[in-house]
Amino acid sequence: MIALRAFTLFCLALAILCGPHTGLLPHDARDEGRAARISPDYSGITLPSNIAPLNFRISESGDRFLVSISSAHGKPIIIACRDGDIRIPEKKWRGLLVNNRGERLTIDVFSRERGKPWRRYTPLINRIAKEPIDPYMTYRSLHFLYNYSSDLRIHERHLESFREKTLLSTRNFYWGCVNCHTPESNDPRQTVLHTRSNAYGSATIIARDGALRKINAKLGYTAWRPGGSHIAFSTSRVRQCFHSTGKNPIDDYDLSSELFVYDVGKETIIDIPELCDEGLIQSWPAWSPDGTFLYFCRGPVLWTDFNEVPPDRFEELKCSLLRAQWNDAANTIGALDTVLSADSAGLSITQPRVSPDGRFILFCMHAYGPYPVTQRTSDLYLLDLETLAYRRLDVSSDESESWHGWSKNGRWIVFSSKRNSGIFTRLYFAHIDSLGFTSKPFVLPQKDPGFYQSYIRCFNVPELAIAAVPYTERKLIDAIRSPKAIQATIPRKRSVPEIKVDPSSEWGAPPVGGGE
Amino acid sequence: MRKSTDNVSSLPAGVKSHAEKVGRYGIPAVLFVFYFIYVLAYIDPAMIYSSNGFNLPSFIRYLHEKERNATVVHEPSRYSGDGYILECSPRYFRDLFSAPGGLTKLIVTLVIYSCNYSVIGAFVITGLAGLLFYLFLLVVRRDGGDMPSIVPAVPALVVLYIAHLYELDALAYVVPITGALAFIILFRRLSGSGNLRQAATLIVISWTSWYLLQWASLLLLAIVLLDALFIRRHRLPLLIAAGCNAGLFFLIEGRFLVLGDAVRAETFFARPWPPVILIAWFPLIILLGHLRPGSIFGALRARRNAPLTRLTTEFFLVTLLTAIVVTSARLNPVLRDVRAMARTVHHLQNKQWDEVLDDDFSTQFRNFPEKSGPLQRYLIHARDRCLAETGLLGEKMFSFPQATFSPEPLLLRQSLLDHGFPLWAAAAKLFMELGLVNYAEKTIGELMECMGPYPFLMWERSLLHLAKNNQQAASVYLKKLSAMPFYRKEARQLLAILGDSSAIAAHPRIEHLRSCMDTTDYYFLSCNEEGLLRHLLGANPKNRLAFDYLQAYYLMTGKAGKLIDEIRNAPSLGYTTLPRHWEEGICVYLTREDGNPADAAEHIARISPATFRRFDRFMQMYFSLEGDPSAAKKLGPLFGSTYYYFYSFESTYGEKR
Repeated sequence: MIALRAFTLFCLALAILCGPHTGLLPHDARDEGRAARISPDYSGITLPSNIAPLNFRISESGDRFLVSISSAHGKPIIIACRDGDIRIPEKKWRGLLVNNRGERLTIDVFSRERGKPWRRYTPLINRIAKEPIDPYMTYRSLHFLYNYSSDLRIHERHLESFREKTLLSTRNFYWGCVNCHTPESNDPRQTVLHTRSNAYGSATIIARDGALRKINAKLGYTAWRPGGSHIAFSTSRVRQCFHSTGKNPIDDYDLSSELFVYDVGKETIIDIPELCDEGLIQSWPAWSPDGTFLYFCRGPVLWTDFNEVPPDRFEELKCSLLRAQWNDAANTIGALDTVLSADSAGLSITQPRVSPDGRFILFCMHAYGPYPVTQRTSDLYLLDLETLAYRRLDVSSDESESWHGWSKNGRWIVFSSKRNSGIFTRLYFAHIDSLGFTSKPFVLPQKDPGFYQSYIRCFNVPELAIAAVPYTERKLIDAIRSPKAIQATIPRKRSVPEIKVDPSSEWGAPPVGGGE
Repeated sequence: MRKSTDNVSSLPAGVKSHAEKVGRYGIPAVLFVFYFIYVLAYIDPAMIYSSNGFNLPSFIRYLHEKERNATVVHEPSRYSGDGYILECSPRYFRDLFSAPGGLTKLIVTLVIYSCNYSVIGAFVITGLAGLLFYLFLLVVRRDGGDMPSIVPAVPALVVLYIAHLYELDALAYVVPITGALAFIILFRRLSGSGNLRQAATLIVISWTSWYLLQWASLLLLAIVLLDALFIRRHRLPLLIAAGCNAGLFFLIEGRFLVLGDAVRAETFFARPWPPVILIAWFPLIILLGHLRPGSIFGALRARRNAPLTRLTTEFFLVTLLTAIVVTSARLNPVLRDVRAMARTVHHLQNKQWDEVLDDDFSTQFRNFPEKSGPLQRYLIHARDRCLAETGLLGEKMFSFPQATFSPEPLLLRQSLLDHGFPLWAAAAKLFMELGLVNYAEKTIGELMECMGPYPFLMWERSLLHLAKNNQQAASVYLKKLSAMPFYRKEARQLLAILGDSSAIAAHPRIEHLRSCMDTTDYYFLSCNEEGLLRHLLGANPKNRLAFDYLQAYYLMTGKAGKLIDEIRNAPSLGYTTLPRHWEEGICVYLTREDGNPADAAEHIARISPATFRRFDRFMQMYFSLEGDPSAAKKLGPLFGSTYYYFYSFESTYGEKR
């Protein structure tokens, strides 16, 4: 009996390897009349022709599984397994996708339980886009954080395969912090990165012209001016408060925030008085692709007591989207122009990112505050700069969406989303057409089909890149540890009081006995 | 020397060989039997497992440093562990073995996990020390002949000292040393006599040891270099191979690999001394053995007059050294406090309430309340928690040291701004029991970020998410836990019922969490202890733990009026009689100028006559001693465990029960 089974299995495997593939599929299978449940959900999506195999797990009962992946041209890929984990051979996958740009990609799923006939599920239909996605992506991985952070990592992923490398781990510079790594126009050869560490201080690393420079200033949320001459950045004093109920207890707010521009050539910080108003929170800079406009978000400071946690009326703060023309010769900005006001939108606008063709702005809108990542209400919106019309993108979910970016060709967006759990942020891609319509998003593919089911870290700050980062972790660490740094002073830096500690509850405090 | 050698040879052969056998096997046997019993009985490896990741020695060392110098800056990274967490998944092993030193990490992790069972843990620690002893004996015997047992006993006893730290991170130095010794023996066996073969063998073995045990290869090369310098005749090829290898290691480590701060030279030398001694010991002894013609140990042995005398001397030396190590570890104030904390961590984790109450912390509270800090705060918190869990908080809390009118040890809220992982963990556990679900989630999240993703933290996090009906988030933690030893079964059981909401609701922990969790939304950092507990009682008036803590809070802060107000809710929580401290609180309230007897009228009849009589006696004696600076000391033995003593003298009467 065992020998017979082994022989049958051997024949099946041999047939899969050598035979005419479609003939192998069980034609007498019973039709289930529904699509198979697979995880991650890779059905009804549009995928780039150069993406790594979309390995998935079949969440149906059975002890034999068969999957056929086919398109208009070329042989289908047939995969048989016992555990429901579908690992697609990379070479065959690449061939299938490259030969079928613009075509449909069909996934046929079959399952069988011992002693029962094969079951056939409704095919999963996807579309292969004509436009490729940038081949690389950098992103940050971290645990779901509250106040403290000690183990942050920046990774680079080759999107065409499963190759991944760690660009930076904070464990290598005394459990410091590493913030947004921003390449200039999807080109990682020019990158800016902010780090904080007890041992090495707060610094910014700028990668440019094949060299790494350390600036001893905290450049918060950054945006390269296309061409790489300037970096706009904010200096946010971010604070947290915590809710007693709800799925996600964290709320973030800025006590204050100003915007500055760093002149990369002159290695100086340019003071722009219009962007440093004490009564305003100004953050999230972004440049137009031609470098003429600086976009940013702005909201009023509604509190006077900076010691209060959280400050009064912080839940009423809503940011608007503004822009100003950049005067290159004088290093100044022109008159401020409100692109979309929070009053008219009724929500707070943050994280604007202009499309490479300059037509759209992709941004977040949420109930209040300057931080979309902790707001369940945060969704992605697209504003057409020609008509100034905006709409919520279908890629949004019930949970928070944030940290979005464009591919170099402007046909793909990447963003982080807390959908599914409200806790674990994952990275999603979606195709976006020339009119600004998006396809159903799909999660970053992983080699292990069950990867996301037990992965306890979060991903955020994805940045698509046209090439691999040319710096090794060792070089970045050396730059961070280096005592040599460019001195840059942030002008008009406001000091915000530290969080107040209730003295009556401190250890060894004077007795309060007798008082009611 | 000749004379003494003659003396030895003049002894009857039977006596000589018998004495040699006793010296060779008897002394180590006695040493390691004692070792095993001591580790099992005094240290208790189960406590090492419970303390895994808490970095107790670093934290206690910081506290002691702070006593001497109040300006010591708090650096979270100093307390972050290296994450000895075991997981049975392909991803875990791939990550582990994709970098040099993976085997070291795996072995240290396995040793720590073996400690979950005391006997196995004691056996493994003793076995590791024994292996170190034996391998060293083999390495040195080859060159220096026999040596006194005291020499290989030193590293074994350093391991014993390390066990007193209640964390085995330092084994990350012991394991490569042991491995290096094993590789030296292997090298000697395989290298043969040809120059080329020796060099080739050395290259293969040193790179293998580098990949498996990382810097062990340097120790291996150091010993091989010593060998080459002092023993081998054709040593040039070996010297060149060893030198080139060492150079390559430095090049790879220094130029291409990312050196974590944990393995950088300055961090290494800033570490406690045991690993440094361990590493230096072997080359030093081998060098000493080589420096003299023949063997220095042989000479040492030969100087002694007779095998029996030699045996006695060796036994005496080993015993003396063992006694020194054990005594110094037990008298070391840092290790003493580490032990107190480790024991408490273990007992709290395992809900051994009585053990905490019975433990003797008199050393830690010797100068209390003048000398008080996070350690005392933690111990008070632990005892209060144990009293609350056994329903005795209102009855006995002032029988133990309490902070001077500070509610901080009750919930440890300010301590969450401080880096003391045991304090955070204790607070998080209490928050969960009380129903402060999001506060617990936040605290556990901070712990997980700073300590690492330890399974006990993920387990609590999954329960919290399940209580909040976030099954998707819970399932991620549970899937991870389902590949982790000691949590597999429970995680798989929960995963199996994840889709069944009624089965989830029936899980005892989740049922408890849901029954007592907060229902109103507020910012918990802007709320004091009273506010938090009142919110909980608002959500569930039957939350007895919250009620007990609220009453304790009122006692601790001297708000006896509010205590009396709350007593009327006590019967609905199962109280049929008033706990002693509440009675004493009412007595205090009645004697206060602002005390209104009408407020307490309904409770006066419920106060036991014994309490009244004792209070009267106290008041008489108190007034008779008015102005006497030693009044507290005189009244302590009689009334030290009462609330009115605490109220009058602003402290409890020390570590008395």
